[in-house]
This record gives sequence, structure tokens and C-alpha cells, in this order.
Amino acid sequence: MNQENASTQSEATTPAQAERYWATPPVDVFENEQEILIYADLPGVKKEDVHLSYEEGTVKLEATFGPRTYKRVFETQLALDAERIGAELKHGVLTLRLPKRQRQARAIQVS
Amino acid sequence: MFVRYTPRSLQHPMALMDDVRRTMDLFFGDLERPATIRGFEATWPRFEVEAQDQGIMIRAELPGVAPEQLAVSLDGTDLTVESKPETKLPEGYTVRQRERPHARWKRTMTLPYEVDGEQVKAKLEHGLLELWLPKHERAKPRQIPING
Repeated sequence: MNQENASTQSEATTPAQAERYWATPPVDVFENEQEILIYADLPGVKKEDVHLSYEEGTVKLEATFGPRTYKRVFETQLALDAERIGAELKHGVLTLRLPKRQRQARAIQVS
Repeated sequence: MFVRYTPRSLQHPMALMDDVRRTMDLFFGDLERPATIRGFEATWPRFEVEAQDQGIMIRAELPGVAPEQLAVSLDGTDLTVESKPETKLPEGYTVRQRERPHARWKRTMTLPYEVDGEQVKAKLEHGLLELWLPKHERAKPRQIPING
């Protein structure tokens, strides 16, 4: 075992360990008026091994590559348009687009 | 701040080339890297170097690197791998968090024996690099017939 790496180890080597250990992928997060844009490094991961879920402002990312599991959770107070959440995987990087729900001002007629 | 990701090398601890890699990190971590975040550059990307009987297998995790952004060159037994990952800032966005490595990097190492430059194979898929450098015929051990 490489001593200098020992303290950062979280690699699972058996299925039982995979339950308990996972890697946290580094992410870049950007935001504009329309959306939140997230890039996550998931080297080795194939499209079919990425699992994303959304519930009440929480996006959960889980991906596997061999014995390794990547996990990361994103939370936001913003109202998101769940129907239009988009994800793309390219060169081991996941691009996640979380569109904000657009608030539309509505004029109320006074009668 | 960044969250360190776990390199593949932890999965396959190998003793043979460990010293080479550590020396590489020590050396180039200080001399070759652009002066961005020290220590960070020295450990990214991590290379797993495995010297086998028939050749040398090098594996590295290079998320975000497209094949056309990677350059591998061989000069005698000096191998150089360099790239600039594609981490352009998207236009019109506010940065909320940046953890992914985004510096240009270059790694150079001296291979333990001569390899056949014509037969080198490089594969970059899903952000994983596999570099196979077969041992040159000249570097292979041979039986010497004894005349008696």
C-alpha cells in the first residue's frame, strides 16, 4: 500500500465494501438566470451506469465504474423545472443542467 | 476548495514503479508545473505505471480530456504526456463552485527500458487513458549460446 495515499483511500475492493465506501467526484457549479450548470468528473463511467434522481430541490447523483461508486448530492432552494433537467456524459465528465422554474408575473384584474 | 477524488492506483498498488512515480511527483511537482496551486498539480493527473515482461502499461484518469487534446511523445526512453483539459468557463454564468482541476499539465518520465515506438498504443475512452509501450526487441533478454 502506498503510504502517502492511505489517508485518502476510499476505494472499495469487495462488494461489501462498496456499500460503505464511495468516491466524491469533484464538481464545477455555474449559475445564470435560466439554470444551474454542473460539471462532474466521472472517469471511466459509462452512460448506463449513471443514476440521477430529483426530489424537492435535491438532485442525487450516483455512478459506478468497476468496484467504485461515485456519489454526490446537490441541494438548492431554487424552484427547479424537474421535467427539463438534462444530463450528458462525455469524455468521463457529466454535464448536468438544472433549469430554474420561470416565475411569470400575472396581472390581476381588479373588478 | 476541492474534494480529492480517489485515483485508480489505490486499487492496484504496485511496488515496481512506485519510486519512479514518487520521484516524478517530487521533481516535476516543483519544477515543471505552472505556479497555480502547489501540491494539487503535483498529484494530478495520477499515473499508474506498470512494468511488465512484454512492455509498460500506463493508466491515468483524465476526465474531460478529448483525444485531440492529448499529446504523447517518446524520445528514446523519455516519455512525455501533456494536455489541457477542456474547462472553459461557460459564458454568462456566475461561478458557484470550482473543484475540478483545470490547469495545463505535462508529465515526463524515463522508462526503465527501450520500447518499440512504432508499436505504442494509446487509447482514451470515458476519460481513461491506457498507454501500452511494448518492450523493444533490443531490450529483451536473450540466451547466449556457449561455444565449446
